[in-house]
Amino acid sequence: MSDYKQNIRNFSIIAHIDHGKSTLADRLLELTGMVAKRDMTEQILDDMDLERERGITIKAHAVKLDYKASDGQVYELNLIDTPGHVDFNYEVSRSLAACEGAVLIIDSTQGIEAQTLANTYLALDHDLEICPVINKIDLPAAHPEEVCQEVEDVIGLDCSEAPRVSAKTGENVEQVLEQIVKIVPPPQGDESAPLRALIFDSIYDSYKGVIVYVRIVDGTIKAGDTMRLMSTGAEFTVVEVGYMRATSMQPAACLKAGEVGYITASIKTVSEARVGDTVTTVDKPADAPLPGYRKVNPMVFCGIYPADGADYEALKEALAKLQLNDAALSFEPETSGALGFGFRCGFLGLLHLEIIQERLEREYDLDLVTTIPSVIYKIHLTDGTVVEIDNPSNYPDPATIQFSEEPIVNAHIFSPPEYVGQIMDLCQERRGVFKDMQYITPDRVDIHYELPLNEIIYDFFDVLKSRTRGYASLDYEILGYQESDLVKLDVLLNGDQIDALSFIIHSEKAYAKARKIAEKLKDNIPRQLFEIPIQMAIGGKVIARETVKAMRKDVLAKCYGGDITRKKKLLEKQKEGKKRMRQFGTVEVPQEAFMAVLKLDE
Amino acid sequence: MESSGLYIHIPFCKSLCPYCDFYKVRFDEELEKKYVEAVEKSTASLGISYSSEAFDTVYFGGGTPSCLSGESIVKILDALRLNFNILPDAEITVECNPSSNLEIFIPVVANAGVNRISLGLQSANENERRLLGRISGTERVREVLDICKNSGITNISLDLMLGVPGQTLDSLKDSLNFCLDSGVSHVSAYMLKIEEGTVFYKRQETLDLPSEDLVCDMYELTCKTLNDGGLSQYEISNFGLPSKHNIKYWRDETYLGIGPGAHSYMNGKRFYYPKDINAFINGDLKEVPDGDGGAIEEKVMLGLRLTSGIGFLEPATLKLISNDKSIEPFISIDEGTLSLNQNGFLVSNAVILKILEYIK
Repeated sequence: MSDYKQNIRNFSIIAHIDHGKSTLADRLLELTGMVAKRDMTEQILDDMDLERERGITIKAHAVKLDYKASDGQVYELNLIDTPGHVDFNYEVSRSLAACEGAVLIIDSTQGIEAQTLANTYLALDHDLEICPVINKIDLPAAHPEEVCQEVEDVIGLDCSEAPRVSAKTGENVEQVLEQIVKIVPPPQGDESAPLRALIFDSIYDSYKGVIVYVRIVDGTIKAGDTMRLMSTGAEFTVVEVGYMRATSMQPAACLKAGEVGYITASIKTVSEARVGDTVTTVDKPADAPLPGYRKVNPMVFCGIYPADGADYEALKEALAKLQLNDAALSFEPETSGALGFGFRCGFLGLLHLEIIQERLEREYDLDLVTTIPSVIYKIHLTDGTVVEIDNPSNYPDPATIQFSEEPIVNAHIFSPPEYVGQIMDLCQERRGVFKDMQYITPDRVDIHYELPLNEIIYDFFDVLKSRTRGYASLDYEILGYQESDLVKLDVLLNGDQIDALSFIIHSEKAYAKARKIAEKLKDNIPRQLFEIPIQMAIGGKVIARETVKAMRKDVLAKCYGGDITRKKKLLEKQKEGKKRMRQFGTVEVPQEAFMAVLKLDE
Repeated sequence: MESSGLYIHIPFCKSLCPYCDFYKVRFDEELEKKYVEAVEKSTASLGISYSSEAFDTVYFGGGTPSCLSGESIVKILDALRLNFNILPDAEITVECNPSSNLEIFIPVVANAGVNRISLGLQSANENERRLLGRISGTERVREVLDICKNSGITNISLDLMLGVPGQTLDSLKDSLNFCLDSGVSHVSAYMLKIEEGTVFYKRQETLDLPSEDLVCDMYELTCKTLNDGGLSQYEISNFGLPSKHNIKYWRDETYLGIGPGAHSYMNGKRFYYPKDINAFINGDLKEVPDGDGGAIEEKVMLGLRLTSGIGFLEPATLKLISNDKSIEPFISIDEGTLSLNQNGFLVSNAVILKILEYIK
């Protein structure tokens, strides 16, 4: 009976961005007859709409493919998708933990790039067998043999049998399936042992509740079982189990060790079935959960406000809906003197923040104002208590502060050696403490720094990428808290403090930052009828100042020949402009000024 | 009952100035004839519609009315008098370009009753004039002023432009003094605005435009010099003996415009003719409605261009306005009349918007 596992292959596809991951996945779906070519394009195009409508991803985060191999046997191939950004590294690691192998795509026109290596090492960390695939051989610039040599030299993978394919034209893609069958080992596990199923993803569906994606490590699960989530002890009755197909969910009698599938159990929010948790059964519980679970907590916080106060309820509903499907998103109401009613939201990182912001704006048609992101600081007060602050508005009176702590991460930056100088400069600028540096290969360095989280949540990744022409990759994990000399920097416009622009910063950086913000504001606040002093202050002491000079003239339209339409239009235009402004005391500030302060870079 | 104004658009120019975006085509004698006939025709039909209306101003604007022959203007005037009730003491203005053949033109039109000439000086500095596409020099402008006087026309307006590329406070001072020395009764001083579709718009990057601050200084210098010289400011850009015609626009009074691109405000409705000379000549130009006129916002927006301001706001509204510190330096409120001061004129859009907030 243990034979069924011999014909299962669980794998992910890993690649540097734009090396052809999605296209190859599409071809695999086509080749295994999961979808007709005709439907394929439609699905790609309709992806977002369908996702919204049905609450599930059509091109699922995981999909089961049936493949009849050249040896005459039918194999069950489970393709598990992975997100590709450091904010979601934990999710990636859980997806990889659900596999025995990975298809590594390398673009034959580009060769090895940063994410190629970072992803490969991540896969190797999980003891995955790797099938290299050389892609884009249809392009004139392709040099597959040299790229194979590079892969052998740098990563040490044998590429003699690596398929040379064009995911675009479909050429040789069949060989990829053959390689998967050949190289990826079948799963192990004991279907008669107590159930241990690894959750690698969970999504909210408005009809079925949460759909939990699992890899069964040991045991079996079927509809009617009472399942237990080992991290929380929460119990649910299993409604349905089954397999993810390309365009539908296919219910099954049970899921057994080695298989990948889904469970529904009337779970209401994804936060009740978190990625990385272990599912077992109440009847025959496992002794211990699978290793590696951790609850992902938001690490970056910011205020999100509707640009139009009337949209507050709409924003609240939109956030609640997004949260159904996103266990890492948190939000609670907050009020700002400058921005009115809004929400303090928590995210995994800045990309996560951007994704949520974009979805709110695009899918829910909301116009938003976002405040400067913050991490959680621990403030030790003179009375011995400790307060955790993720919102500058709650920053205590400096006189009551004994000392402050900020979160520190262990950061590993992988890069070709020629960029080491630039990377070290960047880390130094960001208050990093150098730990060590290792040559993984002659062409690959692992630079290890300890960095304050608040120095990297913002634009670190972007700057790193631009300084290393995209070659460096970053991985980090929270190390803990460290004492730090923090101050709260306030912005005053015409003497009024703008709470939404305050933020907490290391004292050494305060002056430079204050000057930059003051300049940005000066450049982005249009001249008004009176002079506007911009002051940056720490605890009431002004450390930087700029002035927006009073406007001296606006356009004087001629009312020639009785054509007053021009003049009317001009006033209309000016009125429209005013609508996009926010009134702070006496001063009108355009949204762009906020954005400019937020986008403060180098 | 209040009298109305008549505006006749003459959409021809002999040469096209690089800053101007008003509707005009290149002058052509054949076209002139047809155009005058078309004006005569449309006058006949409009005369029936507005038979009960009295008109106390006639204004020939352009384009360049003086590139037509004096006879053409007279023909139009005759048609107007035939079809409309033009009051005997009406102000009749013709815009002239100094380089037109005014030796013949002015005596002819003066004889037909034209009593006001508006002359495009723009600048008394030859370099600036050349840049603005003006062929003739200041000497020619002096000659023209003499022609006017010899024809009995004493009500003369000169157009000046502020913010011309390369202009300085000194060169502006020369232009202003030229106006004062010439003894004209009126000066219009407009700031150059780079309009889309003009040569200047395309060449923007290469133009040595004075800074915003310098243009403001120029405006202040203009106001001071002209006021001191006896031409008192009565509107944002106008000084001296007020133009009875133009003042109708700012007082939200009625006027009828004839010709392609001409705007009208009659019987509470605003409308205009599309900028299409051929359609006008063929007689199939339909007026385009441009909404109702006379709303309070409009009266405020226009009336505040005048130094005399507006006297129709409620005391409660004036109180709210006077309490707004942000506009305090730009306005004055005196016995129920609200007006902008010189600083206020410079930022009139912003101040008027603020004021409108209290009226809605």
